[in-house]
Amino acid sequence: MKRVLFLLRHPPYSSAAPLEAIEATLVAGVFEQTVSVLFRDDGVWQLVNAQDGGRLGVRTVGKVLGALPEYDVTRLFACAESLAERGLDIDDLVLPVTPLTAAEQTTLVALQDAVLND
Amino acid sequence: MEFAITVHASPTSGSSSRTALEFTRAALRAGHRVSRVFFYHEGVRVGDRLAVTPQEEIDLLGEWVSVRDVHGIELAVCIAASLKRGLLNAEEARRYERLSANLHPAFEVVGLGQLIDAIQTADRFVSFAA
Repeated sequence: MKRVLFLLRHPPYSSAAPLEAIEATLVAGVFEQTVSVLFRDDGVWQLVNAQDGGRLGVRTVGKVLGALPEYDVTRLFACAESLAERGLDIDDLVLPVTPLTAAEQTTLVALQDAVLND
Repeated sequence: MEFAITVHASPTSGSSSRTALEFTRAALRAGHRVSRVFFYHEGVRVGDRLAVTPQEEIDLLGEWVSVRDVHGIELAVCIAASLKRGLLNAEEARRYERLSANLHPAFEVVGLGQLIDAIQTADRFVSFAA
């Protein structure tokens, strides 16, 4: 059982990487690792409500993220500053996330056995 | 100690494939073991044996295959990431009726479970992001 952090920093629809990272997150959950997810920088856009990937011909990232709790991935965090910079309200996201300061993020990362970026 | 390594960038989309190779070699020289190198996202593209590298540039595919041949390290590509990007081995090329099997046979086509397995079993995990 390892502590695995997925660090999601890219916007949801500008490359295949976010969805692929989220799939890896789900698999880590299935394999019962201690999984945390930290959304920061443009990665916080992945959390925005009311997304529709269908208009882009791709899966809706927000909807896939919604599956995380079903896979026991419940340690969900977002960079408070990244949210504020983008005018995103913590109560208006597809998932309940805990906002973290930069110092708290450093602590979170230091606790991990593995950190994977998107 | 035993390292598990992931590579997320292709030879042309970033420098992390080269850096990961150098890190792997350095780890081996220092007497460590590298159990598996897992290529994900654009990183799977290094396995494309159709790629023609200019002479004055390093042939990353050749270098990774050499590391595998000499040290017995497993090179793994994620099946979903490689199919999506047109990297197919013989079996997948047959399955999807594609013209060529361009994925170098030195690469194992695996699921994401192998990535988690690598994280689980290694002492240290190093990810070379895009």
